[in-house]
Formats: sequence, C-alpha cells, structure tokens
Amino acid sequence: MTIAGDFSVKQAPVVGWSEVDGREAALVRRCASGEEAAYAELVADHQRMIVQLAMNLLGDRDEALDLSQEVFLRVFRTIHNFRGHSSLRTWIYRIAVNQARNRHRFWRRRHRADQVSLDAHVATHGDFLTGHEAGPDRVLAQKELAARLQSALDHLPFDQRTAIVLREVDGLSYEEIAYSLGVAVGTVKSRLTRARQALRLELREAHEERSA
Amino acid sequence: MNGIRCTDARRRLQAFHDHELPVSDQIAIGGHLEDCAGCSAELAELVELRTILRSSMPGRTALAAGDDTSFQEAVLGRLNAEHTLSFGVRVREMFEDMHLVYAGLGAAAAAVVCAAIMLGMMPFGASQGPGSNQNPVAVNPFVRMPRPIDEPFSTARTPQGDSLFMLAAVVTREGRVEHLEHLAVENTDSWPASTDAEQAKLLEDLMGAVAKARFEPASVGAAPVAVNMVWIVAHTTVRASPVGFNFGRPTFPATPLKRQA
Repeated sequence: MTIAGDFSVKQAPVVGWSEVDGREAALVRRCASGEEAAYAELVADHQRMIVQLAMNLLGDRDEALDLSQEVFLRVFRTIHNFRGHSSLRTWIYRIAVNQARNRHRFWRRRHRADQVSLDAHVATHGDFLTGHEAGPDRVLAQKELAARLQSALDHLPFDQRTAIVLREVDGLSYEEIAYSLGVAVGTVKSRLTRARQALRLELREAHEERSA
Repeated sequence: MNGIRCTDARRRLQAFHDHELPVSDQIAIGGHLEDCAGCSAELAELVELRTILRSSMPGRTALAAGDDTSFQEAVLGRLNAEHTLSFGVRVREMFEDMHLVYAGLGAAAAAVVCAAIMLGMMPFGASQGPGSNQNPVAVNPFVRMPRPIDEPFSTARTPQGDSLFMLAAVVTREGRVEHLEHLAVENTDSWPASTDAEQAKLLEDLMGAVAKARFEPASVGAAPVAVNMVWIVAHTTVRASPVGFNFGRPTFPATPLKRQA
C-alpha cells in the first residue's frame, strides 16, 4: 500500500445532549433540582478520577483532597449551566483543571517549593512498581527513572503538564483535552509534543547513564 | 516497507500512539513500524514513557479503598454547611424569632415617621427665614430699597389744607404692599390740619392708592426680600412772604423704621 506523506488526525464528533448517556442526563437533572442522593451518586462516580488528577497536578495529597472537594462544590453550584456540550466527565475535568490552575498560580506567587525528594515521594505515596519484572536492581533503576521523569514533569509549564497527564494517565482524547483546557486541538497537540520531547530527553539521558 | 517515509511516519507517531489517526492512517503507520526499526524505537520510547507515568504518578494512590465514603461525606458536609450559611437560609432564620422582627419593624417605622416630620417642617423653615413674606426685615444699608413701578401716589386726591399721614406696610418679595396700616401721628400742633372728615377721606384715598401700588422688590444681593416700610406723607401749603421763604417741612422719603406690632 502506498500512502502519501500527509496524514490527517481524525476529528472527534461534537457531543450534544442527545449523545450524553441517558443515566448521566438524568443524574444531572436530579442534581440541578437539589436532590442530595444525586449529589452523592455524582461524587461516587467521579471522585477517584478527580482526586487522582488533582494529585497528579498538585503533588500534595491534602491539597489534592481539598481541591477535589472544591471541584465538586463548584460542580454542584454550576450544574444548572451544564448544557451537554461535552460529556459530564469532561466538563468536570474542565472545572478541575481550572481550579488546579488557580491553585498552582497561588502557589507560584508564594514561591512554594514544588520538588519532592524520591524518598519523600515514596514515603508519601508508597512504592510505585510491582516487583513482578525482576530483582531489586531493576526495581531500583525503575524507581530512579520514575523519579527523574517525575521531576522533569514537575518542571514543565502547568499547561504542558496538564496536557500530558490528561493524555497519558487519564487517557483523554485530544478533543476532550482541548475542551478541558479551553484551547484548540492544535494547541493540545503542540503542548503534548513539547512535553513529550522534554520527558523523552530525560528518559534517554537516564538510559545513557545506566548503560555507561 | 510500505512506501511511507520515516520522516512522515515520525511526524505522525504521537497521533498513532494516541490512536488519534483515521483508521486507514493508523493501519499504514502500523505497517511501517513493523518494518522500520528506527521508528519502532521511537514508538517504544513513547510507550515506555506512558508506562512509567501511569505506574509512578502520585495520583494512583491518592484515594485508598476506604477513603471513598469519607470523601463523599466530606463533600456533602461542606455542601450542607454552605447551604446552611447561604443568604436565604439566614433570612429565614431571622424570621424565626419574631421579637427581633417586631423590634426591627418598630425601629424602621419610627425612622420613617421622623423622616416624614423633618420633611414636613422643611418648607416652614425655608419660608419663615429672614426676608420671607412672613418675616420681613428692616431696611438697612445692605438692603437695596424697593422702587415703585409707575407713580403709586399720583392718583391721590390733593387735600385743601396741611395734612400729615404716616403709613406702615410690608413690601413683599413679589413687590406687593401688604399689611397696610395708618400710624398715629404725634405732635401735629405746628401742622394746621384740615377738617377731620376731609382728612378721613384723604386717608382712605391715599391708602387705596398705596395698596394698589406695585414695587420692584427690595433685594439683598440678587435675592428679593420682604421689607417693613413706613411712609410719611405730608401736604404743606406754602405761602410767599416778603420777608423770606419758608419751605416748610419737606416730604420725607421712605424711612426704614422697625415695624410695630
């Protein structure tokens, strides 16, 4: 098969009320009417994803939990504005990203240290690699590599970090990331490319040091 | 190789890795990767990057299994607290104790009554100030005298003998003559008067003429003021004599005198 060099990225379909899941639409309506059981249901459905995203973006568990609560309060305050132009999940992601960006700016203004040592990281979050692959040497090497990548990720601009986290960890599509960040799909692609370049450079350096 | 160049494939490698290419392109790039070691190595880096990030990001352990319920409760607790402190709820709480409501209503009603009384008194205060029609001032050097429009006394009938009248009145801000009175004149011995009936008739005519007179009102600065006025109107017969002239008493101009109650 011969294919010319120019490819196009597939276009994501526009999401409307008709394409939002029926159960989700009913849940939104119940929340908008102030039903407490619906609030609990919505929190139960999305709390893991939001806490995880907040933790990945902020790096501090207490801050992440507090931010996540703020996100849900914001969701309940504004759910009557939800028009189904995206999925509920993406809409909540958008709120979470905005809240995280605000908090990140707040931190930056106060020169908060944003680096965590590997030991502190492991002490806080536990060991992150299962030992099914190999022995202690390899596990240690993987830990060091992960710590280096984490450090490189922390040094990325917030928007690039958010884009790569939403794509690589949360698995959002380009269209969903664009909606969550409030930018065009092209901007998402360029942010992802720059973030990956920085992380791949770190990855290569780590491999070269190991092989040297 | 399937005809795709490495530069083209690498340009699309991230979109391929993210499954964001159309199916046909996805298949084409996949075919190229099977044959191209360099591009496969690039893809392997992307895959490794994703694997490491997914396995090492701190978020994966943020919420332990037992924390779900407590997190939900925390969110709903904050939501309820927010609702409890909301404005509407606080307003409802204010009306739970009617004693406070009555006190507030009483204070508000008292304030409204006071304001109404003050507003009602303001016109009186303004109209009864110095220079108003109800409170005319005495003419002084700072007051510009009222000036007659036309000749108010020219229509008065001329008496046959000597006569003397003293009139008091208020010249209002509008230039009208009000509260016109005839004041008694003392020490008229040197003034040989005509008969009483004649004087009464003259006085009536004179007061009628003065009452109809119109003035350009007195003023202080540019503001018109009402003033108290006293006129002394004298009619004197002068006879010539070879010894000399006696001009008699002149007609006094309007003299500012304090109006008597």
